[in-house]
Amino acid sequence: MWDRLMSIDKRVIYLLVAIAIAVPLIKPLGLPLSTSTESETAFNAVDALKPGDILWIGADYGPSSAPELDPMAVAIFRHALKKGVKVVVYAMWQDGVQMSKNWTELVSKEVGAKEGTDWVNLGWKPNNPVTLRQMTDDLWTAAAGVDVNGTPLSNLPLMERVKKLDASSVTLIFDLSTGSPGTADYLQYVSEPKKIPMSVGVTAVSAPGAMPYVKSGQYTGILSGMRGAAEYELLSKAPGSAIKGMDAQSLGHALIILLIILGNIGYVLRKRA
Amino acid sequence: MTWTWTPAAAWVGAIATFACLTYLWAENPVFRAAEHIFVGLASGFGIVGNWDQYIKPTIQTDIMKDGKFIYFIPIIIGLMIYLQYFPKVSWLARYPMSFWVGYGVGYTLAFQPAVLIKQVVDSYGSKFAVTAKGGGIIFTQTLNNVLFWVFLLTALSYFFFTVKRENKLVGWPAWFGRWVIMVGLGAAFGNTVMARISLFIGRLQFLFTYWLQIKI
Repeated sequence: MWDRLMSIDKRVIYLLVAIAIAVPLIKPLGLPLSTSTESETAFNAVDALKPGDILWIGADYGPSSAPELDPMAVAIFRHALKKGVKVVVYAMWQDGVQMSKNWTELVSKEVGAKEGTDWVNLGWKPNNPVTLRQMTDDLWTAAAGVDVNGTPLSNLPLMERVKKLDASSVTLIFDLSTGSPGTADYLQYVSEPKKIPMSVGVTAVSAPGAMPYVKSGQYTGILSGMRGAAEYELLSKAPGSAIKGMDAQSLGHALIILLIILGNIGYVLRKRA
Repeated sequence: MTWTWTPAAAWVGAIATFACLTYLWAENPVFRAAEHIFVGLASGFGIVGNWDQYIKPTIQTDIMKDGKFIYFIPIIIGLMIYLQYFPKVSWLARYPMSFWVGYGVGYTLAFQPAVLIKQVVDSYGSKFAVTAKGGGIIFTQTLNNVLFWVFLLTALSYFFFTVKRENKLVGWPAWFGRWVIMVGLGAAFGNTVMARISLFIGRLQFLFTYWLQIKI
């Protein structure tokens, strides 16, 4: 029997995982969700901002990590705008332009925030992180003088307050990142030299690499993957797609753990036999 | 413009999703077609983005309007990279490359230490976590810090190859450090599984919501 268990066709496993994930999406189980200290710290960093403060959101990801980072972006952007915090969005990833356009326009319409006054999307500029570093000296030149829509920055009232990416204009950086360029570049070229506090939201794959920076206090909290996004949604009392996905996440994990245990038992028993 | 999923767009998205998932069965022409279309689209997207988001506004605003003709110097240096296609003057293509490498190395050396030193200081700093008022020691946090220190040193000792492992002073910490590394890698693998499941959830949410139009 164990021999048969050890030689299950991988396609059967794929099918089982697909069913375990699909069923709770259609019929949620309502499993409880707790929040981690790291997520709470990141949430509190945004929550502590005062009306008029400027939050810089880095959209450094593409569609491949949208299920994890899009819900974070929506929750953070909504949270900030509802508090009267001004937001500047910038993408070091080219795909980040369309990603950020989706959620900025969706949430600002919902909240009633005005583009140019309450928020600005700078879009993507090439040659990062050199461009990012240049923004700390002269943001307008580094951004080629225009936002994502090609509107001159001089026509956007909010940008009058953001001539440089430094602590005199930006109160907090929240970088949502898949890899490089991303959080490490913000830390190295902006947050550390310009003394701007920085929180991060990363894919679950990148979380172990980012954790040492949280422990050393270089990142003010971290949202890790879909779970981190769900925790932020929970803390901001605005359930979204991440919370909806958590039951599926849990069931998928439970199945994988079960398969790992069965595989190991089978391995040991076969070896003994 | 905000992206909206029209029925036609949802069908294209669904077909592309299934085309990619066919790889789970076996490598096949449908998957390869989807892969090639994606690479082509990404390249086109990159070229248009470069032009639209940076080159065009730089020419229009900085050069034409503000008269920053000094920009022609880096433009010429940058274009020199294409001289590698002309054998007689291909040596000139080395100049932009050497400038790029030199700038990159200097740039990293200038900014990297500040980040790393903080990591080192935090790793070897005081292990006692005290309460905000400074009155007492937080036991759990202190224990956590001490364990971190033990794990760090033993994991490092695993990579200490100067002394043979037969030496007990190095052998035991290295043996324990190997376990520490394996636990760390296991945790990282768990995160990877979580990320992959999240991506699949995202695809299913798209298929249910926009393609099948099931309310979830």
